[in-house]
Amino acid sequence: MQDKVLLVEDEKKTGEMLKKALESENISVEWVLDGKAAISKIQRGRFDLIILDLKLPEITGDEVLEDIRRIDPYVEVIVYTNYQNPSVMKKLINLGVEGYINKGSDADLWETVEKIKARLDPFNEEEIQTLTDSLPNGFLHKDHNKEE
Amino acid sequence: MDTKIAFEKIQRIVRLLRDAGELDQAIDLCVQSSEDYKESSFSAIFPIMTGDLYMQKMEFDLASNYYISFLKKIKKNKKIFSRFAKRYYRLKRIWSKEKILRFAYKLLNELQEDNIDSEILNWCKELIKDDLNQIINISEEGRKICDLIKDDSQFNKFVQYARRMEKENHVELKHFLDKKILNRNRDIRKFRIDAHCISIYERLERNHDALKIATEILSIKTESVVVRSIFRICRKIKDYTIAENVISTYPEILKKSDFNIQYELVYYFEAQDQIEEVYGILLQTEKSNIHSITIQKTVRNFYLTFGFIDEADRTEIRISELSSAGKKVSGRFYTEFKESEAEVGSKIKELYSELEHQKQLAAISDLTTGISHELGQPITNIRYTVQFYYKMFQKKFSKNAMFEVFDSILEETNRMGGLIKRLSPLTSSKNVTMKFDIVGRIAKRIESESKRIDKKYIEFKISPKKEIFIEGDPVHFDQIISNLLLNAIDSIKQDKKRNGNLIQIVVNEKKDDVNIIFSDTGVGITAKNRGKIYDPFFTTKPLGKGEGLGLFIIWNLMKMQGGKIYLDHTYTDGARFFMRMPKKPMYINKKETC
Repeated sequence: MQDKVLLVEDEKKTGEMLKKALESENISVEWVLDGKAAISKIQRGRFDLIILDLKLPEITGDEVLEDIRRIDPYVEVIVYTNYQNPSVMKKLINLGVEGYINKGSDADLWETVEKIKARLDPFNEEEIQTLTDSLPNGFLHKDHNKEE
Repeated sequence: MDTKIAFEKIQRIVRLLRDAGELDQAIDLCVQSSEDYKESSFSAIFPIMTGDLYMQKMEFDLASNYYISFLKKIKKNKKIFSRFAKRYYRLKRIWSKEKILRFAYKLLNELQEDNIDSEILNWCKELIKDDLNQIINISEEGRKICDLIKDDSQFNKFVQYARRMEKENHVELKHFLDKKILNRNRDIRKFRIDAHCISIYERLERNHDALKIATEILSIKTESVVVRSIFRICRKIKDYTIAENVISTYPEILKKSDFNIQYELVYYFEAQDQIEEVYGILLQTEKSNIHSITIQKTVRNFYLTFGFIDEADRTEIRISELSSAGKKVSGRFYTEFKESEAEVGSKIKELYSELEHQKQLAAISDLTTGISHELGQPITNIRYTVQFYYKMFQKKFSKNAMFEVFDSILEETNRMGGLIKRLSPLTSSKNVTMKFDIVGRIAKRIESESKRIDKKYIEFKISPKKEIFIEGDPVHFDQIISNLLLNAIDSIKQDKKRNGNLIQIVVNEKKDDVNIIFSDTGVGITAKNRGKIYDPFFTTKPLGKGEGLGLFIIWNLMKMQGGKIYLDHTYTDGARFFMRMPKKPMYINKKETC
């Protein structure tokens, strides 16, 4: 069962290397160069994760994200950029971005790959953390006794 | 022990077992813990973990059962629900259509039997609706509404039911509209119902579907309210393409003296940067509604926003007359009035923010962001390439791949060097001042730039044919002209409609300075982009074709010489710039530029 990732990155070398590196770890990657191509690829439930560069030609990353959320409200999206604009970041958080990966000039390819792999693992720390945090610590009043 | 700590411990052990390949043991532990902690609020987590482990074992049926029990245990929380949604999609990618249909059916049945929270049930219906159109139960409301939509005879009743559904069960309402209204044939007998659905779709934030219905029913009857909806939605989504189509199909709407339409036309022409049209509309609105104080006030606010101060004063007088006659702002068009009032406020704010100081700060910030991005990107490219092959070469070395690494490093460093070189006119400390003939230098620039293109393709005209001397830095002058020429050539090449292929430069000598008019017949600059053309790194050229520094450099070099450059807003056959340069330079400290 291969994980499926959509990579939206306009820089050719960065995109090529990240795709190759992820594929060497048995992750299936579709790579597109701009927002328009990304939107045409996205269908409900088609990808496990979308890695989205914010600085894209023509339609910007935050606009693409709006469209992604309209099409697929549940897909996980991480923003991938070296460019931070507070008002854009705020908008992104409102639109439900799950994470942020730095690709500034100190970025490390294999660290990035590890981060992405951790995101895709259903047992990742953050996933478990979200689940525990959103449940109250204590006991239920109602007995749910319908275990399989 | 605190349940949370205990739970985290179990969770760690499960992960260790899984990573060691002991899936069955991990599953046993999860199932056991689920039993042990069945009264704890964390109990929802065990089924989802068990499901994930079964997924890894490729036992999808078992996995899906555990996912359903996860869903039964959760509280309503969209974030948690999205965990289920992702897994549902995963199964959907693995399973056949029939299989997922059976699962969806089972899911829905079990949830309904379990009396699950109605909101979670709604989310679930929304999630599976594509797979399972047929089995969503139509509620009592839904069935009644089906009878009402056949024609407009029971329009009021329809509105009443739709309103209730919107409040209580908008998921089903959406589903219903998509199925029964969105794609049906339009005719005059159903006009009011369809028109009403436009506003429902708008409220449900389905703007594109709202526009679809609106444009379709417009062909039956050009009703003002529908026209207005189209313009309003276009304004909201910041894209007037559909509105433009409507205008070209039904040009008569521009002539209608209906406030509904006129109000939106103001915004439309503003977006098109056609301020004269805005003025015309306002004048017409003002004259045809002299008895409505609400409309008069709205018009006054617009006048203020657009800077028509005399007109605003005139309207103000009428407003005070009306209010002394006892008229009040209320009723119809009250929202429009409020909105226009907010516009005036925001206009004032905007004027403040346009202060020169702030603009400069913004430009510096753009420049540094731009440079760090432009340099950071090739650095990342190099690092990724080296890091990738570093690892690959440990497994297997390849000479070809090594050359690929070298090539990419050379290419990327070349790109970085190029940027620095490009910005050098602004940073180099050498400033030469000498007397030179600008007409002669322009001719030389044309000659050298046109070497790169087919001369027959583009025609250059320069006048007058005599020497005109100024004092200044000739190298800077050359850079200004070269950058303009390059932009003009690219713009003519881009122009598919072929307005012509002329680049024209006219020099006028005045007493203390010279004016240069530089025009081309290319694609021109859209109203939207006019304010941004001098911003560093702003470009409309295709990816990799322009770095967006040309006009930024020109603007700064002009300022250094004490000159100015303006874009002619009235010129529509391409782009036309006016430049004014002093005959004797008034060098400006470099710190003030950019």
